Amino acid sequence: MEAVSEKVETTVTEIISRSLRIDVGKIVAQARLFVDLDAESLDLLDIRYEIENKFGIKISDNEITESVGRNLTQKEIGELLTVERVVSFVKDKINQQ
Amino acid sequence: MRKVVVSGIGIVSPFGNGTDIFWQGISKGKTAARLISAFDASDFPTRFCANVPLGDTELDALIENQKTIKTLSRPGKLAIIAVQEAVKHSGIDPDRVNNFRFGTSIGAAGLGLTDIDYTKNLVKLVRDSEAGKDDFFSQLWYGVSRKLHPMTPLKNLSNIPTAQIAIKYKAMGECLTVTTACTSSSQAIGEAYRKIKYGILDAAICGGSDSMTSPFGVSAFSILGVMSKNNDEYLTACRPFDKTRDGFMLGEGSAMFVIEEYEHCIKRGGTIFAEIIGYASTNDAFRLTDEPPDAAGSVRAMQNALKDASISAEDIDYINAHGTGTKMNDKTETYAIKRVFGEHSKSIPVSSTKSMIGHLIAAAGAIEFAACVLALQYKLIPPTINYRFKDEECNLDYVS
Repeated sequence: MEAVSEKVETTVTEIISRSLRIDVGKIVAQARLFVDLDAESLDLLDIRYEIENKFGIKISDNEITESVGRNLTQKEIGELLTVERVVSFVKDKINQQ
Repeated sequence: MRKVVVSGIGIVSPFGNGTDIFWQGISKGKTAARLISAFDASDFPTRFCANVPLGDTELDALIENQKTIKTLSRPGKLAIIAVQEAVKHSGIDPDRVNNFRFGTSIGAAGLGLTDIDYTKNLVKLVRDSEAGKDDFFSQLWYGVSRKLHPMTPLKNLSNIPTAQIAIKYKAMGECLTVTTACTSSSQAIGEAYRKIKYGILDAAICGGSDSMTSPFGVSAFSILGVMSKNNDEYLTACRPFDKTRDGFMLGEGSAMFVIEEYEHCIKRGGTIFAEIIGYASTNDAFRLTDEPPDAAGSVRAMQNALKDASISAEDIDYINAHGTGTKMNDKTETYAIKRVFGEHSKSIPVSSTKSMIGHLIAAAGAIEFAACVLALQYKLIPPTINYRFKDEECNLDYVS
């Protein structure tokens, strides 16, 4: 189980790295996508597409951003959406299947 | 009236990456014609073109902001690479200009359709959808929502390269994309010139980019029957103004410029390569792809440009012609030049650089504008190559 969890973490980090063109080594779990890694909403679409294909899961519109809380402002989402938050979202999705 | 100068040039052409490589090619009368190798064109009526000799991976490596690559189609990449060179060449510093008066004006076409992968994906999606038959669109959406990368629709938009250029160089003035087929980039440069001349902007990045040497582009122009099919003699097939001409050769590339108000350029220590003194644009309101026999629109455009520049026809020393190599264009263009310049037309050198680099469609005007700026800089007129047999209706000095 731990191995699967680690694999999700590695794969998600790699996807984020590829999409944002940032070295994997520079992406820490606590990094905020919009604030620290300079992502924009389009990047999140790209990341979502790659995650869907890699893990065979279907993610609906805004599901990733809403996973940090509903009815939040863009600024609040920016503060809360970290790499580890995306990793745990993916793990939850896999477990639900 | 405010003067407008050219202070930076960047070019990716069928000769390769860089302004110097482009000038080396056209000043020496070389051809960039080559057989199509990016895809299997063996069943196409035209099997040669003048593409940029760099693959997508090589282009990607040249783009400074790597994160933007996923939003760029091939012409978008060519545009960014040319702009990088133009901005460096000009020495303009986006942190030291009034960003609200720094604009962008780029000529571009339908971009995503030029990507080979996109064409393949689309064909596959449609083919898969046909399996459903009675619910074609449901099947299509099923395929699109699962298999089409979300950046694909963006890559299709003509204005994405312009937007990425504006973001990269903090150009917060007017951001314009002109999509008027072969005149796109001439008009893009002309509109940027007007905005500076009339005080709306101080500086602009302008030019054009296109990549129609793709399966889609070659198919589209083959259907229209406007390309040379002289595959056996492809190295000399593009023959503007020649009696044996049988159509144009597709080209690919981008030419970009930094243009600015004269004082603005001088104050920041920029170098002036040319001054733009006149521009005009007209429309025949005739037919979509035919020109009226009296060439009225072309005549008015040239006359109005001379008027805008406050010069007379006798002041013109060189014309870089549209000179596509189609029967109709070269004949009508020659006639238009004669109508505007009268007796003087006999002593003006008129050349078609398309004879060497092909027709860059939405980027044609920009790369030919670059040829003119470089001709002034190096005091050398690029030739029309492959001209051998005189056509009675095309009887000017074509610099052959």
